[in-house]
Amino acid sequence: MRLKHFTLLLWIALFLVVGEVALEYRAKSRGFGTLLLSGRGLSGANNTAVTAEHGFGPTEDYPFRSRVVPVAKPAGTTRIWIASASYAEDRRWAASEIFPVLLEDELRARGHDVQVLNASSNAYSLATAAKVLHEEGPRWQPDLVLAYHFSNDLDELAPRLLAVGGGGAPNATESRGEGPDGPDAAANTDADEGTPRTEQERWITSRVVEATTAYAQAKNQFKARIVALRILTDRLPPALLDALEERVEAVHGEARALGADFVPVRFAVSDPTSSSGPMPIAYRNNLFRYNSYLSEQAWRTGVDDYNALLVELAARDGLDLVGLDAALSGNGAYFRDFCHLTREGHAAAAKALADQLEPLLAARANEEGGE
Amino acid sequence: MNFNSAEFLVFLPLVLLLNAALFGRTRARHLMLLVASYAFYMTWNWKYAGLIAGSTLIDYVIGLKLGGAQDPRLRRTLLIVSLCVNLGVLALFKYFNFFVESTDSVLTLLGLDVTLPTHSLLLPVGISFYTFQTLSYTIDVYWRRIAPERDLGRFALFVSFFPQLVAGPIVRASDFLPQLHHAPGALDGSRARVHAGMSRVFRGLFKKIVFADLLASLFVDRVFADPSAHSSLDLLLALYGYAFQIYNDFSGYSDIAIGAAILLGFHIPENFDRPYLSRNVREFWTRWHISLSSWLKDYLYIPLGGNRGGRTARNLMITMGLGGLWHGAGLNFVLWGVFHGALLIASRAADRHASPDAPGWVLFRDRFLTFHLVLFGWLLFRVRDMDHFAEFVGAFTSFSGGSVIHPAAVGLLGLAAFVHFTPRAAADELWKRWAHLPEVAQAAGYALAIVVLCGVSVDAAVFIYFQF
Repeated sequence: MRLKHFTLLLWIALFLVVGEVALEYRAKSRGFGTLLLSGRGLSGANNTAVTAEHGFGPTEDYPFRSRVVPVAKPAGTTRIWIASASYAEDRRWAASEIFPVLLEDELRARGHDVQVLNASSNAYSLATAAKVLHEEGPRWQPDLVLAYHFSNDLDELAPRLLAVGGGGAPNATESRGEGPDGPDAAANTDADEGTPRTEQERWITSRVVEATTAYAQAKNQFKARIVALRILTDRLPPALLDALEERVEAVHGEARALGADFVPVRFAVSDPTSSSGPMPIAYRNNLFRYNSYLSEQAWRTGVDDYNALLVELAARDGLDLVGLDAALSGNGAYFRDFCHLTREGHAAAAKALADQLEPLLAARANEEGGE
Repeated sequence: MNFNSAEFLVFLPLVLLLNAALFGRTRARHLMLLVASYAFYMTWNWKYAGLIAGSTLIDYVIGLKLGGAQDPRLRRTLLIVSLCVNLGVLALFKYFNFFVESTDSVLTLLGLDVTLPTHSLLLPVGISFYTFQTLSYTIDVYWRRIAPERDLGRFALFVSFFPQLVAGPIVRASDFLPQLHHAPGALDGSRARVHAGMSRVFRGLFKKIVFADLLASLFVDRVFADPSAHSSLDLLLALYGYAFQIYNDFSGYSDIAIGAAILLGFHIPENFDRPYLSRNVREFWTRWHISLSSWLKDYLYIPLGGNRGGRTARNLMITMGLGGLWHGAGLNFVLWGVFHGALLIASRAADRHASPDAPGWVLFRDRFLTFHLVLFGWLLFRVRDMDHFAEFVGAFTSFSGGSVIHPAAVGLLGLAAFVHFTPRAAADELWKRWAHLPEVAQAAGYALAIVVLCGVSVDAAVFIYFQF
């Protein structure tokens, strides 16, 4: 066939491009950065969004979304490594507004010489956290390793452990948006399961594949509605908790290998089991955009099960345990969806963590002073 | 690279444009298609491209030798070499572990505690399909039905042509190779042909993404994952769901393959013809996976003696048992094949008493009965193993009520059934009207369909038949 016979293909391409531009224009007019119309370029002067605000990472030499510090650790400084996901990376807010940075500010204000390395990234899980710690940890020499994870591990593990997907395995690298309310929400997207990529690589991939407004809109329109029609599981299978335990232990093992203290962090959510009534529909839709197999009930009880697991592990292994659940869970002002924080939530999280870490830091200081 | 992936959405138009740009330059076009086919395959596992290349080279050489050899013993030896190599590779990758584990079980039953070694090699995608394709070529040359192909490039393209490489339809050399010998321009098409190919591709994508994947993810997979936790009603719905899932999955793939081939200027044979409308199991096998059933008939059943010499039943059982084994190395697949073999034998006996002028209710009864016999076969096909089968049957025979399946999911199942059972004339009329719309309107429809299909494609699942 000759090229002239393929005008149908060209028309289809034209419609897709026009539709894309129109949607992006709409998004742009609402204040979102978009694939084609925003200044979120990958090079030159427009690269500021990727490298974040002045003084904060990630940069080429500094892979963390926190205040840039040199690799060499000053004597007497305690380095706190925060291994988390979008909850702590949270590109919705400026770097100066997210809880790892606020935690550093809070602890310094209380007289502690600390540096917080925010090794959190969208879609990271405990499995990824262990890898990143293994690869980057020796260079940055953390003293405390805080692991704040749950939902991404749940989403990774559930399809396999629920033995679904007989007609073909579900895609393990589903896209993951940041929030329910805009094209920008889907811009920060996934890394392959357990495979950390550089910030630049992730951004390029997300830009090409996922940040397309039409694609993101289509996903947003359909996925949560479809998942709501499924037979969903109401309780985490025991094997899933076993797998979570293995993952927590893997991060613990990496921290121990670096000579750092491992501090698991109990998970906080907008709607814990104690809260009455169903989750707000927007939150539930957002939950179902990420998780395709567990019901709202399973999510709530799953968080309880996971937090109980951390308590058990901490008791068994003699670990210090901190948590954001008591301070944050169930407080609507602190959450912008089912697990991501508002500005107020980040501030409250930083304060809660500082309160709980202070005795640990004091104890460490005493130990070092004694030595 | 799945047909239902973003990569294929880029790959296919690119190949189409290159194919069109090379119009009139036949050799360059064939070379481009060959490179594209290997690239397509290598996205699955680049190492296994060597297997296809090796199989291609061996059958090409054997075909040439067979063409020139007159000595019957030499010809038979060459054929046996081809059979041994092709089936040997297939057996190594697909059946070795199954036979070793089965032997282990037998030895354990006999009181011998022996553990035989197994391998952990991945099954090359599409190996069952391209092996049967190359075998049919060698056998046809042996039988002097076709002349050997002298051009290695053309032969390699026949074996690896990407639209049907991974999951069929199984194309015969006698159908495909002549299309490569046409003089430049002979395969010239038109806009109508592009439209026909495009509509076929979209029909396939719709079947796969909307029916097959959604039925699987909404309830079929969940119910089959834990049969004892579900009511009899849900188990029945899941079985119906699986029947339409596997049909839409496989026929959807075939539609995309046929549509892509049309767009590239080729014809590959139909593989499905609304199989659940069959009046008996014999008819079912003329409507389901047509390219495999005709392959088994021509290259296994008839050489075994067919229905001559009073050995029809034996030959049917062997053919269908091996047909079951072709699908997968598992006892359930063999039993599925044997079950269909038994149904075919029964069907032949019943045919003798069948009246050609049966009233409508008899037609309905026969279709209903045939569909439900096939449905039982799908249960054997879908289960993980015989314990899983027993669990499903045990739970089903509790005859418990209630359902956790969302009504909308049942509605989707009903829609899939409605589309399947819609008279062909009505469906053809709809497509004819669509084809008469202005090109711009069609393009707008396709663009919208792409966006919707992207959104609906919640868990991009691989095609079921890729595992075979």
